[in-house]
Amino acid sequence: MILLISETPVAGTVARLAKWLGHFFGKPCHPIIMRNYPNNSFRIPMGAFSSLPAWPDVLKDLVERAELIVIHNIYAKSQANNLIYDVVFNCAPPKAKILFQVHSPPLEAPGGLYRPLNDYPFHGSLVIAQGYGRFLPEAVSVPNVVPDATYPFAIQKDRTILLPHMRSTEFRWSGKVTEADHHRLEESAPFSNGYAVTNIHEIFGREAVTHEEVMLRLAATSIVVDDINTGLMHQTTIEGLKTGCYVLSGADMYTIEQMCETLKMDVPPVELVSGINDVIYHLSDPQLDKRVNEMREKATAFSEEFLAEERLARIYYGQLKTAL
Amino acid sequence: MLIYDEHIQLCLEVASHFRLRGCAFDPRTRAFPEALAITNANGKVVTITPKRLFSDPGMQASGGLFADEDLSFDLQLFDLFNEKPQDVKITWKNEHEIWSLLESLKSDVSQIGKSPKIEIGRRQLIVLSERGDPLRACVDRLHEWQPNMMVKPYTSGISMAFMDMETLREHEDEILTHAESIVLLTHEQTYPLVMREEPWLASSASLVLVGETLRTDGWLGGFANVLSSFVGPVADAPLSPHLLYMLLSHLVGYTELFFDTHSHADLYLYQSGNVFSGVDEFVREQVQEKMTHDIVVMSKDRLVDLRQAKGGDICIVVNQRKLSCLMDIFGKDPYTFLKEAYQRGLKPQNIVI
Repeated sequence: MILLISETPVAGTVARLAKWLGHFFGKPCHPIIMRNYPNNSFRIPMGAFSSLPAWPDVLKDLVERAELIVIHNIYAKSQANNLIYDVVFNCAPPKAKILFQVHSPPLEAPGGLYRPLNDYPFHGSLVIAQGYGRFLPEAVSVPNVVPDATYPFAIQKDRTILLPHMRSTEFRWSGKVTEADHHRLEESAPFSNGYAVTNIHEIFGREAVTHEEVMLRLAATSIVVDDINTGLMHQTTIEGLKTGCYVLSGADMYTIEQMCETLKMDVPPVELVSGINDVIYHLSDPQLDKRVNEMREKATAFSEEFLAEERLARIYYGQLKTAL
Repeated sequence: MLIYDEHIQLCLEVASHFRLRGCAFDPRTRAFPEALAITNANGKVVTITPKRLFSDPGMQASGGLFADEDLSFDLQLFDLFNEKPQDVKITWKNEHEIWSLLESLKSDVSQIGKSPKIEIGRRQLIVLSERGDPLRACVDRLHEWQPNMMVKPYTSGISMAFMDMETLREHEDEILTHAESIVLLTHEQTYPLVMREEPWLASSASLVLVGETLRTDGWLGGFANVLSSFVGPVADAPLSPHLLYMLLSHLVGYTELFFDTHSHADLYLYQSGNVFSGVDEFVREQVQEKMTHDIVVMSKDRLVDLRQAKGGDICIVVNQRKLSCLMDIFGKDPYTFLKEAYQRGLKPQNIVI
């Protein structure tokens, strides 16, 4: 039996991985997710585990039968988290392998200093292949398994530019698209060839939305602006490519190398930019429509070849086995 | 230290038996004081003439003086007097004594006390610790060992402060506006507090996280990696008074490397790669145009994938300001160097020539 344990749904990743790992290992794989985000923004397949009155006993029973345990992004030193680590490291069978998967950058919430990796004897660690390898060079790089989306109806693309990042700070790794960048984009809107800037809050009226909701809206969106400042890549780029959008991303050379090597693919067809000035330059180009159409075609072909959910899941499975 | 005399304003940043670095101002003439002189114990007098003056905007601003005029001096005393002077005095018009080294040392003898005098200066080294913190125990041990060790005249003019979070908050304005600060703190106890309560510190000071190891500091821009490479194998040992002493003494020993980074002119140093046609001219032009990138990767084709750095025509230059984050990997090949720079959170800039 395989256990994936996390404090939150980690943007739906844990439940998705459980489905695919169960399939490839041919063994039951259970996602143990302690609680949901505010507004219950992600569906948790088995419900919030911490709502069970005797959850430590249930967890102990599961851990004692597990062959592989992957802990996802649990950092905070709360009583519940300490209990999870105590149960996992004291009750797991001697032959069981215990891994840690990092989803967040260091020195910023919730990742902090990756203390659990120093405090507990993990057999290995995994990082998402979107530039996060720089934080833990010794970790095994794994793809973000982003689901496919197909619809039984035709969807027309409108002339919108979607900025899906709601939470942006001044910290090194969270300043994906800053307030100042938003302001500059709004100022330059009259020169953006008739494309209108929008964001998650404007569309949905709230800040946390599920992957399925974003994918459907992206299917009707022409241009997506991912992180343009930090050098990392986020799920938005993959979602944008899979829905045939023209994606602008500030992914740096490190990120592209890590992603291409892990996913065994060519450089993704995104417009690589370094900051808001580059973004405005591309959006105000009189040839923008031609570029959008050209890149959208490339995005669709690229996603079919390299970003199919099953392919990503198979690579994840292969990489996970190298970490064991 | 700032000295307000009835006639002139004097600010001394480094004051030892070997070196005097500071700036001065005469409010009446609104210029450097005429006939300001240095006198040794034997009575030999050397006047600070205009040709010895230069402008150090940072130091002058911290002393409350005009930033862009030639008001600063940096004197090597052994060269001036051809001996190590027993005492040095600064005098004005040969008669009026403004400052004396011996007097200054007498009044500055205990800075790491149990109730330490917290000195705030333009170049600031802060050890931040809370009660019960292992770093606090190390500071106390250092104090017992040699209370005068970190007196400013012997620390290349670096101001030392040993403080807790509450005191840091009191001095927030001074640290933000004037000081170039390096802060030592533990990643177990103090760092989480800083991130929760004083996040401004991470962007306005260089943080060095000490604790079980210095290894994880790479994320903070590589500063601690360079420091570790100077300190040597002991940097990998657990935190101890000895390690703290080594860190402090190396930080004050390599002042030009670890401090003053913002005041350096944008001088670009060749790191690695081929100096292909046009590179020299390009760098010269960019420096004239005040290019301020930290790492510039020049290439004939656009670089999008790090693997492209393994061959081909690329040339890497590094802004001297960033040596404090990169010095330990300076001789590496382009690919290894860039990979490590990315792992330290830096942002190399690719420019196609």
